[in-house]
Order: sequence, then C-alpha cells, then structure tokens
Amino acid sequence: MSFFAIARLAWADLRGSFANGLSGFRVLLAGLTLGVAAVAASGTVVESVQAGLTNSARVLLGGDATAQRLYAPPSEADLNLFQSLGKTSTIATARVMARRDDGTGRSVLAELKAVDAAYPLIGQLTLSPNIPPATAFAAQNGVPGIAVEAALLRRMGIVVGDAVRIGTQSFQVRAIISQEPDAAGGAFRLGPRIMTDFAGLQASGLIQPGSLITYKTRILAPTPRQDDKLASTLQSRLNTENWRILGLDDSARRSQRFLETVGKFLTWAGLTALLVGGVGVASAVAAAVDQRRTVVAILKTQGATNRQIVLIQSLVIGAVATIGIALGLILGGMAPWPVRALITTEALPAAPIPAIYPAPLLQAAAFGALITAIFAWWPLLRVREIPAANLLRDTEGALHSPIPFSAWGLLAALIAMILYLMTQTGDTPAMGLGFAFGAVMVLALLRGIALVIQRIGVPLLLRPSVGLLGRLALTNLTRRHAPMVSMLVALGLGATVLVSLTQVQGTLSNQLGDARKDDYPTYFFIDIQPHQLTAFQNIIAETPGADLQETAPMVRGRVTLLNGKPADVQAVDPSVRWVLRGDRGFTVAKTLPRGADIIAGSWWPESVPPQPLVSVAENVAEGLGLTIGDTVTVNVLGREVTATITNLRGVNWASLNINFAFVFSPGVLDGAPQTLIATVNVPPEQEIGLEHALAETLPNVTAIRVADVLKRAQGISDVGGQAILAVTAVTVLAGLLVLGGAVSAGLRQRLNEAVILKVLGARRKDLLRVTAWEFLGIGLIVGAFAVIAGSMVSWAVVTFVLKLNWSPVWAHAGVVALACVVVGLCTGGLIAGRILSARPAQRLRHL
Amino acid sequence: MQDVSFEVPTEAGPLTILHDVSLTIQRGERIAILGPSGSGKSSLMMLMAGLEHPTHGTVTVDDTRLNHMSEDSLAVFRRQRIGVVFQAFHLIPTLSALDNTIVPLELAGIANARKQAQAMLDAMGLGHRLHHIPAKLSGGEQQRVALARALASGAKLLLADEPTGNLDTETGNKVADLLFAASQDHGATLVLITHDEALAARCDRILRLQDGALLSGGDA
Repeated sequence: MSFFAIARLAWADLRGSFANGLSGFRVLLAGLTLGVAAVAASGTVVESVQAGLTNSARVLLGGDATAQRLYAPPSEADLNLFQSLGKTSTIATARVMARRDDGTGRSVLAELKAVDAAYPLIGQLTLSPNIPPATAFAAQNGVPGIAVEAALLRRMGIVVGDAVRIGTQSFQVRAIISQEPDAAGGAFRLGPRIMTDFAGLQASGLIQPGSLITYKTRILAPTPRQDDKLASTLQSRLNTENWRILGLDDSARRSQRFLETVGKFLTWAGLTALLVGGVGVASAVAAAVDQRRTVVAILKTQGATNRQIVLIQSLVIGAVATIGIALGLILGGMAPWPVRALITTEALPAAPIPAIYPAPLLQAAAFGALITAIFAWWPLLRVREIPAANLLRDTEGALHSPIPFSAWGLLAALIAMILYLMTQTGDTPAMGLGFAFGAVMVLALLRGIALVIQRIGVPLLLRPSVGLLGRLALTNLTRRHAPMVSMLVALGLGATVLVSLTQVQGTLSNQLGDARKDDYPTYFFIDIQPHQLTAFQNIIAETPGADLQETAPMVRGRVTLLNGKPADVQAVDPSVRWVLRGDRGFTVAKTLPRGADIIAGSWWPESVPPQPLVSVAENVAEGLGLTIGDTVTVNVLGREVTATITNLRGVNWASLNINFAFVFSPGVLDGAPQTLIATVNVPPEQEIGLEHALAETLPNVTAIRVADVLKRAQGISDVGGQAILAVTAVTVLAGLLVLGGAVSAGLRQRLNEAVILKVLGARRKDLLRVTAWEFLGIGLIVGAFAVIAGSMVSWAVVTFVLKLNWSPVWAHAGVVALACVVVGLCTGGLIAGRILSARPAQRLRHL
Repeated sequence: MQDVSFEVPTEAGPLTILHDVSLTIQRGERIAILGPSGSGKSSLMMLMAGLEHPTHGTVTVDDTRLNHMSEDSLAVFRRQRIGVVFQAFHLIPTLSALDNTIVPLELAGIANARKQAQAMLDAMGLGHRLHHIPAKLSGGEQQRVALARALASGAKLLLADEPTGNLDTETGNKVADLLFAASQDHGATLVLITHDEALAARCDRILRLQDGALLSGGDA
C-alpha cells in the first residue's frame, strides 16, 4: 500500500470523525489546545512586556545614562563632566510626610521628586490641568507649587488648589500628574508621588545633613550611536566611588528581572498544564484507539499490516493534534492584547507591545507536538495488539508484538528533543532539566501511588466480608482506564499545588496577623537628625501609651569590597544579592541590638576598640561567603571603611525590629552624615495625635506606619498568590479534561457492566451506590494525597526558603480535600447519570 | 405472551420487530426458538426478561405481568426468577469467576452466597478456577461461569441467547449438555435461542420466528 493510499484512508477516517463531531478526539483536542495556549500565552505575554520595556528603556531611565548618589548633589566638577557627555537634567528624590496645611487629617507618606528645568530629557511630563511644569512648581505669592498623583488627593481628602505642608513649607497643589515618563518601574513605592522643583525642595527645609535624599543626573547622548557607551564612559571618568551609574541595560533591569522570573514561572506552569494535558493526550489517544478497534480489525481482515495500521492511526492523531496545537497557538498568541488592556501602569512601567511573537509560539508548538508524540507513542503501538477477531468478540487483544527498534529510536529522539527544549526554559540548562525531572518524578510518584493502591491496597481490602457493592466499587478502582489513576495524576498535582499555596499563604497571614499584635512596632521613624533626638523623645513621652522601643543611628552607603576583592553581585548567593545592590543602611552599636543573638564569635567590649569591627547577620555572611576574621569594606560618601568581622548575629528579619545586615563598632562611622531611625509603639487612638505633634515640631521626620507597609506587602503577596492560583487553575482544568478523557475512555466498559448488573437484578440504587462509593474513595485518596504532599511542600518552602515558622491553616487544606471529594462525587454523579439512563436491551444488542 | 407487538423508533419511523406474538410456555418446559437473523428472536427474549416493554400486548411470567412494572421492580423480579445466558458470556471483567457468580446471590441478599456460588461452580466443573478473572478463562469456562451465575439464585426461567455461538463444536456440546442438565436439575424452564437445529431438537418444543411473526409452535 502506497503512502498516498494510507494517507487517503487516514483522511477518510478523519472525515468520518469530523462528521461525528470529533467524538473520541475531543479530550485530545481540548487538552492540547489548553496546554499549548497556556505555554504560548505565557511566552508571548513576557515577550510583549519585554518589548515594551526595551522600547521604553531610555524614557524609563530618563536618558542614556544616570549618575546617582545619596546625600549630596553633583558638584560643579561633576556637572561639567556630565555636560561634556551630553545634555543633562538633575532630579532629587526623598520620602516625605505630607499633611493638610490646616493641620487636620492624617499625615501621608509620599515620594517627593524635585526636578530641574531640563526635566524630562525624554518623554513628556503631562499634568492635569495641562499646564507647563515650570508654572506648576513656581512660587506664586510666595507659595511654591506641587503636582501630585491623584492617589495623594484621595488619601488626604483635598483637591487641586488646596494647600499641603511638606517639611516646614506650605505648598499649593497646582495639578495632578497624568503621566510621569520615568516613573520607576517595579520599584516598591511606599507612597504617592509629589513633584516640585529644586527651589521647592530647598524651601521645604528637608535638606539637612544625612537626610536620605538621592540625587540623579540623567545624561542624554548627543547622538544615538553613543547610547550604549555612555554609561561605561561615565563609569571610567567619574572617580569617586559613591556614585552609582545606570545605563540603558540597567534601565528596566529590575522590572525585567522580576519579569524573567515570572516568565519562567508562567512557562513552567504552562508546561505543567501541558504535561498534565499530555497524560490526557495518552488517555485520549488510548480512548480513540479503543473506539477504533472495529475499524482496525476490519483493516486487518482486509490485509493491512500492523505498520500500515499504525501509520494510518498516527496520521489521524497527528492531524487532530495539529488542529489542537493551532487552536492553542491562536488563543495563546492573542494573549498580549487582553493583557495590555488589563495591565495597569502601576504594575508595569511600560505598556506591553501586543504583536505576534514567533519564537514563543514556535516553542509552544514544539512542546505541544513533542508531548503529543511521546504520550501517543504507546497507545499507537498498542493498535497492533488489536486482533482481527475483535470483529467477532469484543475482547482485549492478547497479541504481544515486539516493539521494533525504529520505534524505540523514535521515542529516544523525541525525549532528547523535549529535553533540549527544556534546557532553553531556565536560567541554566540544569534549571530547565531540573524542572522536567521534578515534574516527571511527581507524575511518576502519583502514578506509583495509583499502582500501589491497585496492586496492594485493593486486594488487601477485597475480603469476602466486604459487601458485593463495596467489592464492585473496589474492583472498579483497578479496571482499565480506571478514573482513579487519572484523578490522582491530573487532579492530584493541581490539588497538591493548591494545598501548598494555601499553607504558605496561611503561614504568611499568621505572620502578618501577628504584626497587629504588640510584638511589632506601630511606626518606623526615619530621618531624625541627631540634634532632634531629645525633642523626639519628649514627644513620644508626652503621647499617652506611646513607647519608644529602639533608636539607632543610620548611615547609608555601599558594600564595595569583600576581603579586599570587589563585591560582585553575580558571585554571591541570590538570596543576599540585595545587600550588594545599591545603597544599604549601616549602623553602629555599643551593645548587642535587641532581638539579636550571637551565633559565632563575640560582641566587642564596651571600651571602643582601636580597629574597625563589624557584626554581620549570619544569613548575609553565609550568602556572601564571609566568616569571622574576614573583612568588609563599605563606602559612605566617598570615604571607604574596612572592618573585620568579629561575630555573626542571628537575625529574625520577620520580627520588624530595627535590623541591620552590618553593625559597626562605635566610632567607625563618625564623620559620616548620620540620621536616627526609631521604632515606636503607640495605641491606635493616639496615632493621629502623635503624627500631628511630630509634623508640627519635627516636620522633616518621616513616619512609616508598619500596618500600611504590611497591607501593601500583603497586597503584593495576594497578587502573587492570585497569579499562582490562576496558573494552578489551568493545571486543574487540564486535570479535569484528563479526568473527562479517562472517564469517557472507560465509559463503554462501565455501561456494559452496569447493563449486566441490571440483567442480574441490580436496582438503580445499587448501581448508584457502587459509583458513589468508588468516587467517594477516589476523592478521599486524591484529597489525602494533596493534603499530605502539599503540606510537605509548604513546610519545606516555609522552613527553608522563607525561613519562617511553619504555621499551616488546616481548614484551608481541608477545603481543598473537600473540593477533591466534591469533584470526585460530581464525576461519579455524571457517570451514574449515564449508567441509569442506559437501556439494557439496547446495549445488549451491541454487546 | 399475549398478542405481543414490539416496535422500535428509527429515523425512518417506527420499525416493527414483532407482530402479534402469542405464546405460552409451561413450567419446566424446554423451548427452542429458531429463526434467521433479524427475525426478532433476541427481542422476544428481552421481552421475556423484562428488559424491553412490548408496544402492544402482555407479557406474564410466573403469573406476574411485566408490562407496567418499574425498572427496579423488574430488576428484583429478574434476580428472583430469571437467569440469562448470553452468546458473548458478559461476565464482569474485573471480578473473579466466584465473584461473578455471587453477584445475583448477594443482590438478592442470600446469606450463604459464597458457599452457594462455590457449589454451583463446582457443579459446573470449575472448582479449580474460582479465583480466575474472565480474561484468564477459556470461552467454554466463561460460559459455564455465566451458566452458574444464571442458575445460582434459583432462577425458574433460564433464557439462553445462542449460548454456544462463540464456542467450538466440542466445547459447545459440553456447555449445551450442562445447560440441559442444570435446567432439569433446578426444575427451570429453558428458553433457548439458537440457529442450531440439532441443539433445538433436544428441546421439548421448537418455535420458529420469521419477520417478527411466530410461524409455529406458539401453543403448549
């Protein structure tokens, strides 16, 4: 038989399937469409966001390069250097307290940005009403102006035209910021934006020694050719090390880093869905083959060889898979459009650019095709086992044809290809392969558990003392196409993820819930000038119920050398890279800070030691590869200090006490512009009074309300949780499809048995009971597995990754387990419906 | 059966399978129903088993009119009075020979079901195959299990639809011998649907069906 003839037969078969509404292929089609759509959507959405970020890199950076530093504006010499490289603009940013000028209402933490006349070098600052920025900021009748984010007006209950006090100065709100071109993307902002000019900043009285004000000078290259070189030129020509230079590559790096992580996670989630869908593909192909037994038997009686039959069925399955993959690509490829519509400017600094991105689509198509081929391999080979005698009797094939070497070779090639593709999905090939290995192991574990239940559990329970209906329910667990296997594999995976997610979130919620107890401070106060400490202490003392828990001096600077070698962000453990990125707060202390304990080494004596010493948080030291006796060099405003590590402290970062990664011995940071940081506990009814008193007396002091920060953190964690839930939902949906496939694959046999039982005198309620017990059992097995495995995963994540105390919420896990039982019973209910409506005589004619 | 007609709906309109069939079978009698394919033999058997309802006429088994009984009442009636043997055996593939035989006994709530089923299988010469699932049994053995199952709960009406149709001649003859012997031992009425004239000749009476009508043998 020529290939053409085989293809013609396959086409005829396929056409027949189309005429039957693709009956038998629906699960295959739906599973593939869903899985491929998930992978394609995650890939294209990430690409579209990255395209948006790349496209907006200059706008986000505010130029081709930025030189930034804390505390001090650029000197005349610095400015001359910047100006020699291109057009420049300088801005200053600080966290400030804003309050209504009439003294009513609460103070609001805001992010102030002072800009010069050249701002912005790129893009447009749009205000509403549409007035020029200079007009908005200029002093009118001695009152400087500000433009603010709408959120500030809402929080303060004021409108444009009203007065706001920042520091010691009253400002008039002149406009709302409609578009801020260089709004920091992805950065954790504690409050809404307020913009003014440098005269306004100066007037506010906030510029004091040690005030946490960051100055950024943006430089725009005269010709675009120099774009990529500008940052490195600047780096080499700017001598002082307290400058941080950001180039176009760094522009959206923070967002991109987050995005890449999310992208990988989404891709893997999509792949999990596809993998679960792959199990569905295997069942669907098996079911499709099962439904084709007669066709295959007829072909055999007509002289078709096994090879020809396998080829025909492969072509049919391949054609249906192609349709599923194509539908998945269309759905997934269109994802950037709705995402762009849904995404807010707060979530991302640059709008995604919706377009067709071929690379992720090709990747999704390749995954879809390979997973179909791998999972269809065995069911297709089984086609050969169908005897021609199937036409006479509906029995299982008992033939055992050896699998040809070419088939093994094909399988090996397919697995090699998918492993290669997996290596492309992670940061490193090992990461992608690790995911593949992990996913396959989990699926194998689930499959293994199903086998243990079938081979050991059921036979142990199958005792004569168990009633007939119970035995029937038990033996149903071992039947071919038993839904237990699919439910365990498909739903078990999703339910496990759900349980672990709820347990992790439960732990976090418990932790955040604790924050409302007395253990955590009510406020962090920053930017307290040393000479203001007494006044600050007096205000706290005069506030009824207020308790000043702790004060500590703070200096900000950068870690530059570790053991004399440049501190390389990439060379340290990812969990502590934050320590080396940008400016960090350092403190000095005579005695061991509250809540800390010495893990190794000893605290320095009370008499000031001659050489600089430093105490390092134990987890930070471990991540940086440091131990006692090593040295750390920090740079504060250009002055380098090298200190020797004398001890390692255990720090509970979740305690929300004042915690520093590095605590220096007294005197080490003298001369650096220090401010004080303080934690205060205050009864809720005194909060407003305290804020007002501080605003009146110490307007430069910024109050950070812990409850607000936690609420925001909770919000971010909720968004993360929702994203995980959304992708879990895709996995669960894929699992349900697989379950549907398994059920439909075994339905024919199940209906036949039900009919025989009816003939033997089984009543409707007997049949209902058998199905109910079977599916109740399956639901319980899946639920129990999910609770046990999910809790183990969450324990590992909470203990080893989050380093918190595991405090699971069992009620949540119980809900997931209950949901498994409900899904089980619903599935059983659907099957029971089919069984009860089956007409025995009609089926008996075809048995 | 009195003036029984049976129609099934088709796309082209109702298709009449049986026309005005009247038939009386005496208790303990052995009846063969012969007829070509499509003559309505299996439908006749389904009506006797209460698995189909006649379009017209009445079906009465052991003084019980089956016409208007509910599905569950019919199921209970079947397990007390009727045993069915199919050409394709129709054993439950996930249950052992013993468990297959126990099914009607336990459904009927018989106390020593296991012992009774075991005895029945022993009588069928399957004492050594009790715990084998159907896939591990030969065709003849499967049919003997089916026969044991049909008679286990003391059925007084044994309906056999081509019981030797899937078996070779030798095995078929053995199963037929068992069928006749067992029905006689249990005092069961036997209705045997077959194409096999020789097998039919072993019965007390032969009914011939053609195009849904009884040609001969309707009256006892």
